[in-house]
Amino acid sequence: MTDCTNNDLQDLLPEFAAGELPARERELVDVHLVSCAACREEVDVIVAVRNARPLPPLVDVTAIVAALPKPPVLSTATRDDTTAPVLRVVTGGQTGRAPTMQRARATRSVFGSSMLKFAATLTLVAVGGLSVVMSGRGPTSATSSDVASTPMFSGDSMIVATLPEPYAPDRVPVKAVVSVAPSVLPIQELSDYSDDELALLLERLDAWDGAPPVEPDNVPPATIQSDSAIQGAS
Amino acid sequence: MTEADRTKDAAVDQELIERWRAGDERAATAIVERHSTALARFALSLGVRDDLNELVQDTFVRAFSALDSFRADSSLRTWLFTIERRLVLDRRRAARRRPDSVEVMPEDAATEFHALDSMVASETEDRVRAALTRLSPMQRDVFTLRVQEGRAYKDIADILGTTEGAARVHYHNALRAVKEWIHD
Ligand SMILES: [Zn+2]
Repeated sequence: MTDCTNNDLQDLLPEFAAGELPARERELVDVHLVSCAACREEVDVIVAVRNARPLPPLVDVTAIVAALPKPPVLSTATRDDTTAPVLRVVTGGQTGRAPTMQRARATRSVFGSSMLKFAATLTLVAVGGLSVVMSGRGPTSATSSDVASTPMFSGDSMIVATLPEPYAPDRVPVKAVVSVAPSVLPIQELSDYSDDELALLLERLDAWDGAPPVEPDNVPPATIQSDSAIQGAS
Repeated sequence: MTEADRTKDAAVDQELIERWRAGDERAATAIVERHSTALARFALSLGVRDDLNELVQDTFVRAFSALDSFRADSSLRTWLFTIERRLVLDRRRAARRRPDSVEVMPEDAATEFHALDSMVASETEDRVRAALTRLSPMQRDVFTLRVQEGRAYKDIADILGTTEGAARVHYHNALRAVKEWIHD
């Protein structure tokens, strides 16, 4: 074949043969092909090679997705299940009133769908950028006076963590400023979330208390900013 | 694929990546669905016949583990192709170090593929496949990426670790040779 000198046009031929050119460029090629035997032959070869491309083999999308790493904002260190606190909500009262810390004897068995929705509510509140008070334990715990000096405002919420029986000597309240990147969770109705999604939200809540499961007795109290517990995984 | 399509495609991929980073695991499924077939076909054109699913899976696992190093200035598919091709080369290198294992090399694989498929393929398709097996590996990779996968020369250069100019030369040499062979 006589070589074609119109390189720009030749570059369009694979897309032309695939039928992927927009109308204006397709017409340019059509006009050129009338007078260029080299490009006509090239199109013939391209079409033949395209037709001979192997059939796409079946790919198991589900298996591939299952093998992928978790998104960065969801991958938190897995904690010992028996030491994970149970969370529940205490809605804030009047302005300036110190929150009440509670030690409840509830067990983890309350983790049903309603618990998930409760927990998800907390996440939604956190997305709003509110400070919440969180009860926890371990080396990052603060003294209760720290918390008592933090006024709660009407509409604020408090999270109470119920500790598993062998590790529940005294209630140890912690002040935790919780903030979640807005992109983490679009604010929407809870009913929009499937059980799986609610479970993920709860998993994220678990990450708020980054305290390892050790006895708090010999550890100096401290105030935690649980942002790090959430963002630390990313 | 035109430039406008590529830009739109890149925007969709970028959006999906952002959603995945923000914790939406369904975005991962969408990404896999968008690119897995092309990756499997590219693997075939690279001569891979065994554990094809595993290769595609490894490619995605690597990609998702290193998404931070993905630059939006190249397309996601180009990047995935690059990762997959490196995995294939690594496999071959590892296989060569194990003399007891029988690794099918691209030429043999393509011939075998050709033989298997000749039952159903038309005569022209047979000729084309036979012609492709006679190209050098670089010529064949450039040619199939350009013609069968519709990649631009710049993408091809990225995937194969060569220059755009060299890719063009390989393409034209391959085209000339294939044209000659299928008309033999
Ligand atoms: Zn021409």
